[in-house]
Amino acid sequence: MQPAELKLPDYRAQSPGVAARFDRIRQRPVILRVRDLRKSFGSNGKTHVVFDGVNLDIRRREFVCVVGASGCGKSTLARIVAGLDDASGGEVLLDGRAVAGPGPDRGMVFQGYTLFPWLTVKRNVMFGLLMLGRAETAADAEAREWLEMVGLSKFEDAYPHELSGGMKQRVAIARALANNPRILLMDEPFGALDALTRCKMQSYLLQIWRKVDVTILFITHDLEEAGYLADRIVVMGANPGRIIEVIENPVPRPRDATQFLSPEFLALKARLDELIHGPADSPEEKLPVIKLTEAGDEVE
Amino acid sequence: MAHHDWLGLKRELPRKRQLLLAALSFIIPLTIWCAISYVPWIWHPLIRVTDPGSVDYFSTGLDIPKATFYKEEAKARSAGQAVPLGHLVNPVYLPAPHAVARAFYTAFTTPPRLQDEPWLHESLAHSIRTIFLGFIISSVFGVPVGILCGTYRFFAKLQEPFVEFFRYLPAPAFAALCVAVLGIQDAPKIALIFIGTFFQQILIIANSVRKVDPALVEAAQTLGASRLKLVSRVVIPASITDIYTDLRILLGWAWTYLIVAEVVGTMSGITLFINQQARYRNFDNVYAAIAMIGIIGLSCDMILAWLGTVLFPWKRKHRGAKRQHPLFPLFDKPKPLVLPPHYRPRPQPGGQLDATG
Repeated sequence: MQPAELKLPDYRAQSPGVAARFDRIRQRPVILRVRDLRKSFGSNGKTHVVFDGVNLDIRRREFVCVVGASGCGKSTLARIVAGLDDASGGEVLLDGRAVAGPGPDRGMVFQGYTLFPWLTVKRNVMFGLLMLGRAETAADAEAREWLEMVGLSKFEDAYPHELSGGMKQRVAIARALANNPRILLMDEPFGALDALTRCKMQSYLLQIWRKVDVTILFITHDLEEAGYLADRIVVMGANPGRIIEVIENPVPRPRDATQFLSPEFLALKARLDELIHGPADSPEEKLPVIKLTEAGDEVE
Repeated sequence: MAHHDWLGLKRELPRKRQLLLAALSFIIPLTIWCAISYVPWIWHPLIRVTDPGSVDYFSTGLDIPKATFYKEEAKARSAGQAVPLGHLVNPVYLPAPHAVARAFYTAFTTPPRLQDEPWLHESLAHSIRTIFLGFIISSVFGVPVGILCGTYRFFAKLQEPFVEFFRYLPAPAFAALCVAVLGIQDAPKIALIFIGTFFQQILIIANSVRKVDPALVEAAQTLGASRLKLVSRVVIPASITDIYTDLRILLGWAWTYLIVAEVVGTMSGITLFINQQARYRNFDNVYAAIAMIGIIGLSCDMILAWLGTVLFPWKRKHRGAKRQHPLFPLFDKPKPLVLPPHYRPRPQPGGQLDATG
């Protein structure tokens, strides 16, 4: 049966409110500028290009999601911005200055939580503050505020192994934000969580982001997550990795789960699907046909 | 059903069974020992003469092989002379459990045979001092060098090939050298324990430090930790529990070097005691002394295990955690499930279902 064509709006069509928001964003200064970034590795003449010619400007307090199939180098991009990996070419500018090595101005939240198991929750949040030379009492008070914000005040003296995955990731977010970074890099932060917790964490993140003046670069392979969270969605293709399209998300803010069925969201998702999976790559066509000949049962 | 399975593959046993098995691990060898000692028809290859009778080379208290005794007994009987009497015994080097248990007490209360010989508790103290001095001196150098090698490839490449070579040289091979350089008192013994421990220590600790999750280091870097702080605030705390476990294992090894070390130069400590008692053929004392080493070693390890849970609260077990001490699961009581205070079992429509419902 041919499925009924859904009448979807163009994914580029923006309501006046959304368009006004993007106009406001475009007025803001650029925080992070990625110029002609290239990453390759290998030696003895054999080089594997992870990605090449990546250009991206992220403005203040913008929420940018990077999506792409695995192997397109989206995590590597975040790691290079964080200074954990070196680029093979091009440069990353933070507030106009080239970044060299990791620093507290670019906070990072990893998929694997990476809380320090020997420190209590509060001490984990205090870690960066103490590294910046903050006094113990000041750091203590600030850490409490951050834990209050992520709703974990009751657990400040717990150790990470006593927390659930979602709680751990909230501590990790508080720990990264406590340093007051210019940009928060999130590398598939909710990838290890179960679906229900992930949904909750996404709305948590949006709530936090509304309260805090922070720019977010969010790496994910979950298209709905990108559509739910982002202002702009950077779609990367693989082999070699490159940016194939940057989409301004037409879904208005504030966001909530009911918008998952709004026409703007469905149009956006259809476009993301098409970009990442391609139209001919429908999974059913590629599956081998299994013929059941011996089942001996009437199957409708 | 898994619940009743004693041999469940890689499955944790209920706590009661664990304790039972831990007790059995000691009871089984003890039972075998008792059986051999107290049941006359198991082994007992000798006969202790209680009355030599007419056999001229028998004397009271002498242990004679069974065959010889029966031959002489038959000879005496056929000649119509006085028959020798005796009872079955084990060789003197296998004393019965009760004799060893008694020796456990009497070894401490018996004064030494010669005036300047040490009492047993003095020998033990001497041994413990030797071991701990050797081990502590080794750790003072070994732990920092190990951490350095584990953290920086530079030091690892600079040190480890030589250390790898050196650790294959058996420590006792250096005994003569130690005596020549350090004299015959305690110094060469401590040096020997040092040599036996130090090189293993560097490699094992370096390996533990190398296992630190690099993601933790990266996280700390993005939080602004400097190079030095990365080591002192991340690498060391991240590996400290593993290092502690390494040290516990290494301390056990140090005990094995003790006996060799104490023979070097003037014999001393528990080895001196064991050797002397063996010379006097007080084998019950020998066994008691050997058992004492085991007990001191095991209790030392248990104290350190307990100390570990005090020092490293983040490694404390919580609900369902399964890392337990391989020898003695005594210290980790499973926490009972605590329901939230407002929890009430919800009444079911139509009453509670029974198990078959």
